[in-house]
Amino acid sequence: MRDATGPDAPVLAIRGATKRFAGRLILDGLDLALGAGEVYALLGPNGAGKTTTINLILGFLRADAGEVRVGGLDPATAPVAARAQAAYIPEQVALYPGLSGLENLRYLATLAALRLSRSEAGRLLDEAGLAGEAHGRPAAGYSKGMRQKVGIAVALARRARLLLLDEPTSGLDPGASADFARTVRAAASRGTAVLMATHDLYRLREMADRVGVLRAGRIAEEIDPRGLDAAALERLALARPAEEAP
Amino acid sequence: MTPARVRHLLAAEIRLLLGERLTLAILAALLAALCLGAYTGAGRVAAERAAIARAAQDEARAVREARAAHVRYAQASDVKVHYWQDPTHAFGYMTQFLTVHAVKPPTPLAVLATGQSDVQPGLMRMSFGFSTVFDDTDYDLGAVGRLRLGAFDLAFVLVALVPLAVIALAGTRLCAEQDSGLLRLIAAQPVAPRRVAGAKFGAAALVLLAALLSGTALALGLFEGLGPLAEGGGTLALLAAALAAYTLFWVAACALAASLWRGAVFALVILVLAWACLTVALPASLSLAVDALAPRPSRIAAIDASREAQERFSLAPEGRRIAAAWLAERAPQAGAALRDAPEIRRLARDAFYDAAVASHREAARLHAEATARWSRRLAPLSPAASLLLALETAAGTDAARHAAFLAAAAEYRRSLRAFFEPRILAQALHPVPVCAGCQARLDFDAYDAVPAFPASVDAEAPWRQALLCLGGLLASTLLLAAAAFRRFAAWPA
Repeated sequence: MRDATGPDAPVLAIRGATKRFAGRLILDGLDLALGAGEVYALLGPNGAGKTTTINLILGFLRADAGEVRVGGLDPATAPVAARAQAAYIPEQVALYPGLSGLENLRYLATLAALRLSRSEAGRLLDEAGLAGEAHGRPAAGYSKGMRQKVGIAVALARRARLLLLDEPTSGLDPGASADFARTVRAAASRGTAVLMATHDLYRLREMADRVGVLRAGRIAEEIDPRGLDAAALERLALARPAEEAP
Repeated sequence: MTPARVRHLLAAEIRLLLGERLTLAILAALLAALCLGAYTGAGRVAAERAAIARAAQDEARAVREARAAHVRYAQASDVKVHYWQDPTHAFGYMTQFLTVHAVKPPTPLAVLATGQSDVQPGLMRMSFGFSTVFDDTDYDLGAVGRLRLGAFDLAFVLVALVPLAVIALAGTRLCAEQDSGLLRLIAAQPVAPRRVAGAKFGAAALVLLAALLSGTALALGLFEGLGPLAEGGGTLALLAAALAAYTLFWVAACALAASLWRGAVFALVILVLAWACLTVALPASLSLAVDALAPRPSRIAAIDASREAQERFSLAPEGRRIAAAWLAERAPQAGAALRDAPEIRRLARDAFYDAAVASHREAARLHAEATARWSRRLAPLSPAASLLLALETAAGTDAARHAAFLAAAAEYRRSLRAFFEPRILAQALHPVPVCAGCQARLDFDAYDAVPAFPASVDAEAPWRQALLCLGGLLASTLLLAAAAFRRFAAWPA
């Protein structure tokens, strides 16, 4: 693992992170490092610890042991500064239904201490792939894909070094999913590190540079998905740890 | 966080809040309620002023007619006017024609609260035509059925309905975002939960305060006019500050409920229960506590004492003995025949009745004072009761002012008796015919010297009560806000 404070420091560095909930071990010494422009997919069944990992990175949870660094900052002790390095798009992007996509973007940017003019916000929504006619429409009528594009626009506005995606393509139609994959690759090409928790084996081959298979709270395998077909990835994702085997 | 960023965040929250249709609906309903409250109060105050003006006209008319009687009865005639028809005679005038009132005039801020004014007299005619047991006997409640729900006045709107408006507007801030999932996106931004909560609840507070204070001023201006209110300017400013603190108290309660991170339904249930406890159950409990701490003396016992006194006096030997003793004490030189004169029997009887019920009247006076005192002491335990008391004190419709008014009215009655009694006695002892052959006595014309009721408005009590209320509310608000601030240290996982 690279030095967490040096010039080549990884955008995200997790070392030996452990987290228990009600006595149940969710993360068991998780190690993960992610550099600029890298897209990393966390693959694993429900309950494997993907969302817990994201919560640790955002500072919503504190690791029982180990350390988490975002841009060299500890989100447990400096959550605001650490979150300034990361943008997060949850599985279900919810917006204020009475506000338009444009107004939602400007509001969320305000929370991040950004002042976006209407034209700047419009440009960011264009960049995120939201059709121009939808910019001014109330978000109540947006599809999941449209809401995610607003989330992407927030991340673009923030120029975050790390993009966290939680099940980003679930529920998207194939066209929207392909759009989304392109948007993620575009962000990575601009130097943004991307960590996504996903079940979408097909899309992650298009998007991810590395796939970490999360089992029993730790990365059991780390592979380059481009060399594997979907069937091989599925076998990996479904494989159980030895202690869980029947 | 720089001040500019705070302003920017606050402005964004205000835009967000004002963009919601529910906000406009709540503010419109609040304005309508304020207008209705001001309309009710203005109507009541106008009715009180009209009654006082009518009473003043009646007083002037009585004096005018008495003077006219002097002219009319100064003609020699075979027809003699009895004392009960004769306003030119001190005894006749006192018992049959005297028209004076004890008045509790509306204060400049009377429109704010009905208080005791729909169950207690603000105007009492001082009459000596019959004996009264209680100081407030000469008062008709009117249609008591109207009292069942109380008055829909400004105090009701400000104390009971404003918290509901605050809960409707601010009760689901952050909770709604949590329920919809938007909170995850908000929490992922580089901003501390305290900043977001501060901006959200700060914006709600600013919108509510602006709407409430301007709405109240508008409602008062529409139905009462701001001119009379200007006289109570200092108190009004303190009340506005207390009202702002009361609103902030409920906004802080909303923030505390949100900080439990249990969702909108839970927060609303908690807040409505808090509203029911603090504005309904607690003031009602405090009322019961006041009743327990200041037990009401028996009015039946007082009536019984009066009845026994009347019975004793009506028995011929006992009545004569009492009248003789009364006369002997005041005019030892008076002849025995005088004790049967109607004016002597009436004065002796009234003095006897007064002595018989004096302890009961004193108990009632002490009870009224104790009730007012305990109300003042216990009110700070409930923010709603505290604000209500401040509004009623400013409006001059509080229990303490009423107790003072009844005491002043009793004192006024005594001063009137003290004015007439020596004159009646002197005329009874030395019945000098002023006019030979005239129809009436013509020996009393000091109408302008009859004492007037010293109506007073306590200038200090309103601002003192408003200041106490403001201090208590600020302390409670700070306590709630500190608890919410502490709980907003981190976002929920």
